[in-house]
Amino acid sequence: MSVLAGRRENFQILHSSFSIEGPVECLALLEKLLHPFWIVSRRAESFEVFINRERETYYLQTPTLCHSGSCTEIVQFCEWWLFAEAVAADTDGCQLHGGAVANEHGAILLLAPSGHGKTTLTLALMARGFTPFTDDIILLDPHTLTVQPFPRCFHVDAGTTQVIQQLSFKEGYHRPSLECLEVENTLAEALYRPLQWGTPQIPSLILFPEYRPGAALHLERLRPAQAWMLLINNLMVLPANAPSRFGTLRALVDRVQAYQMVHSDLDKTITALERLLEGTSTPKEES
Amino acid sequence: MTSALSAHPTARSDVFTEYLADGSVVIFDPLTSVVHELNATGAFVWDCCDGSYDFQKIVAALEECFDASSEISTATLREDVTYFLQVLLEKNLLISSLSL
Repeated sequence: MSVLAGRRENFQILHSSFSIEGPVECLALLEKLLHPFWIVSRRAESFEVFINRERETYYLQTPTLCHSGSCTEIVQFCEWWLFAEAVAADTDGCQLHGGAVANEHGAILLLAPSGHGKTTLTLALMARGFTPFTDDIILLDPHTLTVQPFPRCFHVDAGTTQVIQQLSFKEGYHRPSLECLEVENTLAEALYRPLQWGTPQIPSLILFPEYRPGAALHLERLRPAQAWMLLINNLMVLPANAPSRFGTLRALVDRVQAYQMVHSDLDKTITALERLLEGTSTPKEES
Repeated sequence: MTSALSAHPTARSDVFTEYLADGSVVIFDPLTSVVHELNATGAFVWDCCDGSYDFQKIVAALEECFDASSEISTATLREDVTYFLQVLLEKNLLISSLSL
């Protein structure tokens, strides 16, 4: 196998640093996707990752696995692996699978499994003027309970792109401020990075949305215990490390209102969320 | 039921308990990754499952919690505690050797 190590780049994600060496075509794309996490010099404790090429096949070698594919497949897989590894290694933080946005009335956490429309709802709220924190990995400061911006690029499928384009023509909406990261369109999903990010704040609303085509909007207030149980299911940690985050999630549900939501019409959904947020803009103090 | 009356129910030490501000309690079983929600009465009994209370003591402690005007009889309390302990046993949340 030939090693065409044309370039080396270093990235810092959460508390983990990564040193990646490989062909220029892969590293150039990775650098674009991971630009906010780029660091100048390699750290002594870096994870070392290599991308090798043999003819048209690329091989990703990490300390724990080897994966092969085309250049774009390897870049996408590598990007995913870096974030997964960084989240798993961060034993102090509290990460949840979900999106988060804010307007002048407060921040909303959107927690749902993959395929439940988190990215669509996040982008739709951005089209309404909300500022994003993330569309995939929520970083919650365990000490202050504030949601932090996490500038990982958004992975947007063709269906979502179409929905947001249609929505942006409606009154009261605009095209979300996003930078397109992959102009050649060789990746399976379009990759975008928002141009603005939210400022750290305690969430005002926790939402568990489920997109159900044709369903009428239904919002149901959750008891703190119900919200806690659902949050546990969205924790992005190894099972053994989960209990160390329980106290943070308890403090969160004690303080912030949580709702389960079934929805289909994005315009009605966003209007309802705006009203809800206006009514909950001042989280009740922890007793 | 005889053994249950004399045994001292003891919660598994690896089960996590979180007390929420609204008075409810959630417990997490790391073996099954299942979360259970307890109401205030369930939480009270769960707290008694520390190995120092037997069945009679749990019922007596619960009786003390209800005020004098309460219409809940001792018999009802005994039934409820028995049922609740049975549920905890079935869910493998107790290490006590009691068998109901």
